[in-house]
Amino acid sequence: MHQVAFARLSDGRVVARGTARELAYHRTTGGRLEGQAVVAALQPGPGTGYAMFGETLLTAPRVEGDLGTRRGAASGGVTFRASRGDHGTTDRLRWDGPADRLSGDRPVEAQGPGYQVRSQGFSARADGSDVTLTGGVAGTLQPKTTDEHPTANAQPTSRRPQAARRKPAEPR
Amino acid sequence: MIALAAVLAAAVAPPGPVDFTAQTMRMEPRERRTLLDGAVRLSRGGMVVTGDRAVVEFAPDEQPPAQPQRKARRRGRDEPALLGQKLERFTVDGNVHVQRGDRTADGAHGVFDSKAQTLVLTGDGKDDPVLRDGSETLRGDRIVMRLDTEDVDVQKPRLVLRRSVPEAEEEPQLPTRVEAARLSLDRSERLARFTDDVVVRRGDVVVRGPRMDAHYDSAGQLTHLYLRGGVELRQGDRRAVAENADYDALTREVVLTGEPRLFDRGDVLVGEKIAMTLDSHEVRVERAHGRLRPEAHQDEAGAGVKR
Repeated sequence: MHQVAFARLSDGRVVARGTARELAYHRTTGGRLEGQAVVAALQPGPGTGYAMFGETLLTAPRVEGDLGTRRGAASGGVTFRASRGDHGTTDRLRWDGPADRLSGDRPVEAQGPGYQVRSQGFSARADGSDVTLTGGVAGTLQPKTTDEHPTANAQPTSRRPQAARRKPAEPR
Repeated sequence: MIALAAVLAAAVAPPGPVDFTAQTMRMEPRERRTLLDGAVRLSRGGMVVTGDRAVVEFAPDEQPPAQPQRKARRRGRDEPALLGQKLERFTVDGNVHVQRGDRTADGAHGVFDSKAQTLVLTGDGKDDPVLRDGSETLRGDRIVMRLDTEDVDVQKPRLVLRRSVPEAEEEPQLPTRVEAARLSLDRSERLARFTDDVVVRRGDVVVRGPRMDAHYDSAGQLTHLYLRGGVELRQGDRRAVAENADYDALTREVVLTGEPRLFDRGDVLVGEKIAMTLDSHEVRVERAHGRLRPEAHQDEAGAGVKR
């Protein structure tokens, strides 16, 4: 399939939607998926570890998945950009459905309001309830100061950057 | 102690970001904290803190005061945090080492509070935290380093005052030890203020009082100690009490004023001023009057009382 759009529903609401330039589905090999130029917009559920990000746009040049084993990988330079202003990149990441984990063994760089961080890899629960950066971590955190007033916070938490507000292209 | 209050080279840590490195970084959004583990290093301005592990806690994203017409969205402690919030506090554990200019400190446990602008060092119950500056070493139950100034507060300080002038070669090097319930170092005033149960010991001389100020010169050398609020001095069988005691580090002489009285084996001397030289143990009493019992001093030689 070419110029594909997709959506994922959970409890009656859209939790993810996106597009792929190309999507191949190999039914004979147990439900294997291969996607090219995939863009997905995720809407983290309230109360999850990723909730504060707001809508988050993920991009990956290549995505592979196995519906049977519920495992997959994104590679070729994976990026994320969140409504809150966070953005980051890593070369590739893996999803392990049975273990409910995401992981990566390539350098990770991420930054957002008041922080920036880089590491050599990561491992996370899929719901974001814990995220561990591994292999040596370095970064910067912004402290809260005494006279800081919430309204003076230069990093709004609710404003969405333009890039993240853009909706994925409609299916043709 | 010499340099603690005066020759502190580090710049005041400006409000700014905290840089960090560690082996791993585990973020726990629901607990609103991040755990750093393995060779943790945190730096901010001219201060570097290292330790085995650290916990970073984030401030809640508080909303401005609620506006009457709008229903404020609830945010704060209940909402998970995964970075992006301001750092409120970090706690470092295990072989905590602080470097700030020439000053270093070590402890088992350190808490950086960004709102209070303090770094508090404590021990593990076995070893006390230690503050070092040059050759000076200060121990205490709790060391509070101010980050917006270079002041330091110490609970139950225990330190040795270095001699401000070299002693003669043949004289024994007697350290002057000070204990108190609390010590506050004020760099700008070149002042170390001891309060509550101050005890100064040098050789067989023990001085007690409720508070004492130690003054330093621009080179960080101790110049004077001023005890106030009722002072007691003991040396062997001698005992003196007064309202005030001033110690001159150059002459190594203690001067008691404020109704000073000297008790020595039954002698009672009252004067306007009582001065004692610590090295020779010589005592001078100005405008003395009192009761003397010479027979009690027949075995004495050398040191004596001059009137």
